Amino acid sequence: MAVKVRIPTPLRKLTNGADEVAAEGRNIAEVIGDLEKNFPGLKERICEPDGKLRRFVNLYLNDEDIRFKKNLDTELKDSDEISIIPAIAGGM
Amino acid sequence: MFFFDKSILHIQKAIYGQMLAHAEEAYPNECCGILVGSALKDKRVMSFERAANVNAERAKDRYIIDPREIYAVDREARAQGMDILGFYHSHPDHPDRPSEFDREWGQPGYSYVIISVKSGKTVSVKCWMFEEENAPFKEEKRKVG
Repeated sequence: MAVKVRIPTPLRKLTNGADEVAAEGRNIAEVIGDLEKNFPGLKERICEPDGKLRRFVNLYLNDEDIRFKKNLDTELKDSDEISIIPAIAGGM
Repeated sequence: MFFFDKSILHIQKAIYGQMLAHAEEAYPNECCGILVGSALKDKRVMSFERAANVNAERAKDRYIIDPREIYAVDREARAQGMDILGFYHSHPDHPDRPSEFDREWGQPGYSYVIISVKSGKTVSVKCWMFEEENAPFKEEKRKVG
């Protein structure tokens, strides 16, 4: 499946400045693998070494958080849009 | 050889005032919000969104912005040819410097405006950012007007 991936500012150094890139995959995990092939270093900013989603990152498929779907196994269809949304928190 | 830090965050005066008002209203809790604008020519905040602090249990010294809110603001910003430039939050009765917790959760490339509020009144405001994932926060110049 060919999908679009929205890249947030913190990761654009890895995509040569692009805010949106194309990727292929039947599910989210495959798309992340495809992104890593084209933009080395991106996967480790999205996933922990064990492959799970990093706590600093949220992935949205169209309008829905993938944690409320099948997470990285969520299946995709053509023209789906994935958004990488950084977790924003802080304090004193 | 001279080296200049060309990174200046421009903030419209009205927006700046509304951010400070948000920080003062939220006192003694932390406020937080999203800065939207353009970084094509210079880095310019053109609108902002107040965000709910979803860390209800620690609202006095922590904040979390709901990722759904960031997603929605990002979509809206893109539709208008803009982008999320950064975020603001307040430090009630605490300096305007980023804490270790701010750095732990900070993201490279975003501007982080921190508003120090004492007894309900703004005392100082600074803007911070870092470029590389493991770098420390550096103060970013800002221009209001």
